[in-house]
Amino acid sequence: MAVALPTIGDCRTGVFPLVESRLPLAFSFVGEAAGCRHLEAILDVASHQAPDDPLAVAAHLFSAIIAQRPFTAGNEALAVALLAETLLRNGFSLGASSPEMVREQLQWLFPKMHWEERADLAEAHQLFFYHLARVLADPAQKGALTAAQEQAAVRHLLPLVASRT
Amino acid sequence: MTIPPPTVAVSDLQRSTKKVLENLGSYALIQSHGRTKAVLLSAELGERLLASGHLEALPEIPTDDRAMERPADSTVTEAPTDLSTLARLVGPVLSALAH
Repeated sequence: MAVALPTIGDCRTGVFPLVESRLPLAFSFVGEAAGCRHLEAILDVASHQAPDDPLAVAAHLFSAIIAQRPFTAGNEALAVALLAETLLRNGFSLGASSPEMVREQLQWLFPKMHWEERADLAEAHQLFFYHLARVLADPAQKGALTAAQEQAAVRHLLPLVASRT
Repeated sequence: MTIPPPTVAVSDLQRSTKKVLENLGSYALIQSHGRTKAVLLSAELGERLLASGHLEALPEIPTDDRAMERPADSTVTEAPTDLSTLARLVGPVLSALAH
């Protein structure tokens, strides 16, 4: 069975409204038709990456959205929402052992990462998603990685927060 | 012919820890009277396991043979995740990233 990915239609009724509700200014993903077509292409490419490895597909999807920025706003949040959605659809549960472990592993792969103490992120996996999105969106923190290296790094890190139920 | 795994006696480990570590390959079974008491991993292998997160995931791996034979993708579903579940798991991250 192929890796389960949300479609652009699923995004319109699920992930888009969720992310939009968290944005500080009114924004509509559906209102950006070119962005929706771009995201659809990203989803299509991701689905052909690794038919037997949902973590690799999720890593590709996440990295591609942050790198290619299909929309004019909300790309990092959208990338996190779609990453989580993809992992959950493929039978993974989300959680991490501790913030310290998350920080250690992220800094091991991204030594220039700026770690933020976030009182609003109570769970270790939330700190993971937040910092991973921040790092990939910031070349100063990410360093000189190719797209393939970046996806491999995300794929390598995902077992920290995703385990099969 | 199957090659038996490397073994070290508990008594040898107690007497000559430094020598055992110097001669350790990837791993060795620590045994006493033929029974495995522990498994010793090389620093490289252990650190790779830690870095990959697989060490933490090991308790999740089923030990029941029937469970092991279950297809890996048996939990895959096309159904969208309940939005309240997604919001509970990553909602605060979306808010934090949006500001």
